[in-house]
Amino acid sequence: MNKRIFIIAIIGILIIGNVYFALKVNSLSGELAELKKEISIFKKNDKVITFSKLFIDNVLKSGKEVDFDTRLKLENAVRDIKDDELLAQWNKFTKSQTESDAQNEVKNLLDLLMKKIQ
Amino acid sequence: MSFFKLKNSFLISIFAIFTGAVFLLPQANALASSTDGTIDSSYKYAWSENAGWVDFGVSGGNIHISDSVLTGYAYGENIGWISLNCSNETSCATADYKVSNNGSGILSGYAWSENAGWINFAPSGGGVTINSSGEFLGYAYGENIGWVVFNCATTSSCGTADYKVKTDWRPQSARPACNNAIDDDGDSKIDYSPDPGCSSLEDTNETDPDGGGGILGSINGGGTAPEPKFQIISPDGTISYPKEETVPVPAVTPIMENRATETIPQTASVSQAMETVSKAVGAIVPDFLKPKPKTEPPQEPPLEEIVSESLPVFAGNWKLLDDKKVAMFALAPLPKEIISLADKFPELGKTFAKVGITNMSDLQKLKNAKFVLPGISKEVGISGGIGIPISSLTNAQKELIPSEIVFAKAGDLIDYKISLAITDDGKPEQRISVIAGKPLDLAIKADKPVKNIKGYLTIKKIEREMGSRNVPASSLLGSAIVAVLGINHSSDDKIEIEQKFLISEFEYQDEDKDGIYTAQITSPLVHGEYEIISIMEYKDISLGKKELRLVTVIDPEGYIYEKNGNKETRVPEAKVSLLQKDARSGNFELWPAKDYQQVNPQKTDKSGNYSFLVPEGIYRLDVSAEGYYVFEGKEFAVEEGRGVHENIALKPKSWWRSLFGLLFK
Repeated sequence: MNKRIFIIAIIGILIIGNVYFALKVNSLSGELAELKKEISIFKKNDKVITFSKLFIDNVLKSGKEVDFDTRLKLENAVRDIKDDELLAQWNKFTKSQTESDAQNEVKNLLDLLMKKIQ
Repeated sequence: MSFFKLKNSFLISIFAIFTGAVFLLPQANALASSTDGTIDSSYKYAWSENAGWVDFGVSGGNIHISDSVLTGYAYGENIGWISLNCSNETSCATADYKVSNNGSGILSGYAWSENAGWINFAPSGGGVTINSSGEFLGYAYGENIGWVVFNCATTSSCGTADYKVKTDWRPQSARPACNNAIDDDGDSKIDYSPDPGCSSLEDTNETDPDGGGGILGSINGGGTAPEPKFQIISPDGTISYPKEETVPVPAVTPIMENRATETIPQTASVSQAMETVSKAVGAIVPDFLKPKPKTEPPQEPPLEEIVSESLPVFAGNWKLLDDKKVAMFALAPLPKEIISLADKFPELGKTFAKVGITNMSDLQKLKNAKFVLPGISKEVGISGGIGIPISSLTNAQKELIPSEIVFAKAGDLIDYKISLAITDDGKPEQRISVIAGKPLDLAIKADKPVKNIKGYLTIKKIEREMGSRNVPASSLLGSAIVAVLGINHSSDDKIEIEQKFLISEFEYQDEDKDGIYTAQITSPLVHGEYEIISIMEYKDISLGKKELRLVTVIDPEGYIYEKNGNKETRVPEAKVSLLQKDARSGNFELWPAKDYQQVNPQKTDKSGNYSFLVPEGIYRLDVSAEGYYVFEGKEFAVEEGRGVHENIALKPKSWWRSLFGLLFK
């Protein structure tokens, strides 16, 4: 009889433990997902600001031709943001064929960069 | 009892199955062999000085090493996923790349990282190999991340950081003859089980059976006796097989030989059974629980190619931000309302010029500054602090009055000062401060002939000391009006409609036809902010209407009180005398209130209230009341057209009332 109670107790404890830990895992994974999301937002903001600074310093404020290394840095920085919309706008800007197009696209790019900061 | 036992067994079985399944699931992918290797769970990191740790055993990376090729992904902590084979994302049609293995553990070819570009596994001066222990050695080279070291032993740095990438795959030369993917006996059949000379994967001899005898041959139906399966496993995991001559065949009985031959196939069948079980478990796991296959975006050409393209936008010949538009923003002129005010009040214009307010960007300086527009008398050149009735002005003086400005006077002699402030939207706002319940004379000079000028006194903001709340509309004769307002609205234009609480409506008159319209109203009794809106309707229909706004702040009246602890008790019937300092003698004399349509001394009402509206000068207040000590105030200066409304505390004469006041202070 005691053995039976003991086995029931063990099974009960195991089931309760499983349920408890399953719930705990579920709630913690939710929190973890939230935190991961926040971290990814921070990281993205940081990357957008880094790219913006690079772009303003080396392209908008530069009165001379942008060299290969700087362009490589810019390309890497814009791709590092991993935002298709931003990359598409960057490509639109870089592929501008006239000065007025470039002026319009650079405004759109700056506008988009500001909007991407959350 | 037997039922209970059955039930217990059932529950325990279910528990065991689930527990087993839980433990089996993660290992389903871990099953591997020396021909199809995976990465060791302990030794799985390579190091790059520029990219940090690169994990070759990352969850979801699923790296497999075969005799010909590596597949799957590694993960760099700073560069993300690294694909070792284009077949990972079925992009071989676009970019055909892979990391190859020549079977002897010498790797070559390229891996691809979206963030780090190409990584060469056989660069000049480097190269990656896998030794007989399954350890990676050497360097790969990433075009953007430099050298990637696969084993701390390569750089003799294991004392500092012990890392390496290790696999259970073994070079062909380190594997048994029946598992080395080589046709060792030249019979065109390779390894176990196609080669009849192999009894298992661990068999070290592929030589086909010759039908000869031998002990085992007779037992196994005439086949050549398999070699004894002595396997030496060193502590570092190296598996080696002793040579034939060094390990003598023990003279054992056929039964012992039989056991030896049975042992190894049994091992192989266990691993096969495990694979089968894992496949079976995998088959019953629903799809949504399985890891999603990774979808990689289509490969782009390397960045160098993109960047090397000549683009006019980077040539430095274009102005990317339009100078004109920037200049339009930075050098925008002052709003026309402010320019107009500066024209009408030359002194104000000079002040603007002196403090450097010349364009829109300077407006911020005005935000915290307070300007005062002169009263009507001063504007026409009358000084001395005392105003003059408009009717007494000469025609020349009337010409000097600026048009389209609402001037305020109290009676004939006191001019209110109009302060000028800049609102948040950059527009000038004129405001005056008056005392509750006092007469207010307004005057406007029209710039062009007008049909009429109508005035509206409306509520802007009312705050009570006991918190902010609106005064009941009924007590203010509040009624909603739709006022037609705006600046220079043409008759036909659709003009701004505003809904406000109207307190009173009045019309300006020009009885002497001198072009100066006047109106008299009484300031509201409740202190707060009001707005006097004057609308001029021009005779010339094409000019439409013009609105003028004057914010009127009603200051509360002053009061006389006695302090009782934390409370104040108003003192009615107190005599409040206002004394003005004579500029010549320096003596204080009773201010001649009659000249200004007021009374001095005043007796406070039931609420202890009093107020004076005085011209500029230096004054003093004296207060006396029955049962209180006489209060003699300090002298104070009054600017033009401001009210006198100080709150004054009286001290009671009886000692116990003073004591009460002190005790509950």
